[in-house]
Amino acid sequence: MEFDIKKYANLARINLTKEEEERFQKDLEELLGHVDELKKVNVSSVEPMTGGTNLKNALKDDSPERDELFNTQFPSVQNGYLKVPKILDKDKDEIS
Amino acid sequence: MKYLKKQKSLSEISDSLKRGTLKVSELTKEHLNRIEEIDEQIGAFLNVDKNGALAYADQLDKEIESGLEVGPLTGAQVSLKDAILLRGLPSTAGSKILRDYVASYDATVSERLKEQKVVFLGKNNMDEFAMGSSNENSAYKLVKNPHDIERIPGGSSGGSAAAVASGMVTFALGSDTGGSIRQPAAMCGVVGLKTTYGSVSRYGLMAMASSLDQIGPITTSVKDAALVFRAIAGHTDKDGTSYPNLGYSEDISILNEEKTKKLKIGVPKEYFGEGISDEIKESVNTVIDFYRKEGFEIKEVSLPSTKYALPVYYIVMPAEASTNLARYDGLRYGTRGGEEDVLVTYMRNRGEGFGPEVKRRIALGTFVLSAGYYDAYYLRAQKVRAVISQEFEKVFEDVDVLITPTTPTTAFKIGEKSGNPLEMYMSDILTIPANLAGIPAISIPVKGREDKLPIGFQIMGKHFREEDILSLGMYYER
Repeated sequence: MEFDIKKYANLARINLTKEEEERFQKDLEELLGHVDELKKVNVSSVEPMTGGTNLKNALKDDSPERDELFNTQFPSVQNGYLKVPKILDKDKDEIS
Repeated sequence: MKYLKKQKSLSEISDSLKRGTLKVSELTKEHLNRIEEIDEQIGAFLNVDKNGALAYADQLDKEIESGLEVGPLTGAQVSLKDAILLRGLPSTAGSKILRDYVASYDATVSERLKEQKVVFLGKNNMDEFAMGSSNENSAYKLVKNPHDIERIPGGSSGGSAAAVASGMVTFALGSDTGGSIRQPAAMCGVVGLKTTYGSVSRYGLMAMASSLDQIGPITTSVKDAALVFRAIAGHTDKDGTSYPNLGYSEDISILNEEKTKKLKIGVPKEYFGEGISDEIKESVNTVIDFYRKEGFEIKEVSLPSTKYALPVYYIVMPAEASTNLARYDGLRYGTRGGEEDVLVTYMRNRGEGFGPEVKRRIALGTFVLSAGYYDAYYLRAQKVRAVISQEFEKVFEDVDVLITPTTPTTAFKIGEKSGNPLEMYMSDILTIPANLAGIPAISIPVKGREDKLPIGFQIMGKHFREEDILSLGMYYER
């Protein structure tokens, strides 16, 4: 089985406990076994359904709306802006 | 059955308000008392806005006294699934990661209901981020089925269905990605409508799987579902998948018997197969017999790819959910630790903030979208989804609507399936296909089960033909 829970939880940026790792590995292997059913369907001439509609290019004005209630949701604020930890670091320019 | 309560329909409320024999504030107090009396046992609410509801009810009474025209939804007592935003109220989607979040804007559906002058009583408990079929995945508390409090109410809109069934609200709005309105409605003995994809704006609904999610009403009657649907459907430019020019009839809640009797009913045999309990099959067959005796044309049809709906769903849904839930990164919402490495912040906040089912689905979604597996899983699932959708189109050349059971079993015991995800996922095998195809579907309680656990039958219709499934449902309940 190619599925490795640690790898994908890490890609999804989620810490898992040891118990969770073991449980999810088992649950998802079982589920992936079930979805293998799909290999039986002949889809060679089928176009994929990529969404729920065939609408294209729904455009609207992109005007920001924010007020006091919006800003108070931020866990950390400086001068009315959302404050986040340093994201880019030239000594450590890759997060794996 | 002390948790069940018959309550006023929308037309009874609006008629009494017009005649002046009812005050909105009386009705609101009655419903708030009901919540206070039983919700500690049921667990349908995560948040009750008592003061806001009472103040607005008083204001409405004054407006009615000074001549406000009473509309079909005026004064209705309403709750929203906690994933639907209502400005000023907490909105957690049943998750710890949003425990401190307060909505700073209204969902389109909330705006539309405000225009209709409903009274919002609060926000309903749900499976975390709408992931679940029993409401056991709420990070806060269980919801109990009002028909038997040792049983689950269904999910993920379990709080909404339980609130309606127990008389705490006139109606509620839920969301349905793979059955999350219809399945709990069936298990709680109420009506649940999953609307056509693109007919009701998703703006302000926390997204789970964007190509499948739809908002819809949970009500005590099909007629009420039609009235609420008419109020919330419509185009908005705030949702790029919202259809323009929907053209729904103003009279969608009025039954035209003659027109309804012309609808051709299909019965897809795959929905009565393995895994569906005998009790459910027999019960839904009584409904089909009813329509046959009434002179409807009924035909057995086949949707051979139905068995692939569940595996398709468990690829498409987690793929979209893993993408949508990337926004809960611990930076923008909720609480955060001290200044530290951003990766540590992400990993910790998401690890602690999400519950097991959410983490399981995000990991799965990340896998099926990852390099090397995308074609084998995600792309293939999208193709099989197209096959399922085309089968519906083909069958709808022949018949107008399809009747099936809504769920494979009646409400099960709390804890009965929570240890086995795959078994839990099977609860949605009859409802998922409508989401994959984007068609409308409604669950309606089978009559004559007063002392038994409720069973729902499902009517599916063509895209944007809510009118067909609603009229057929009103014909049954008339």
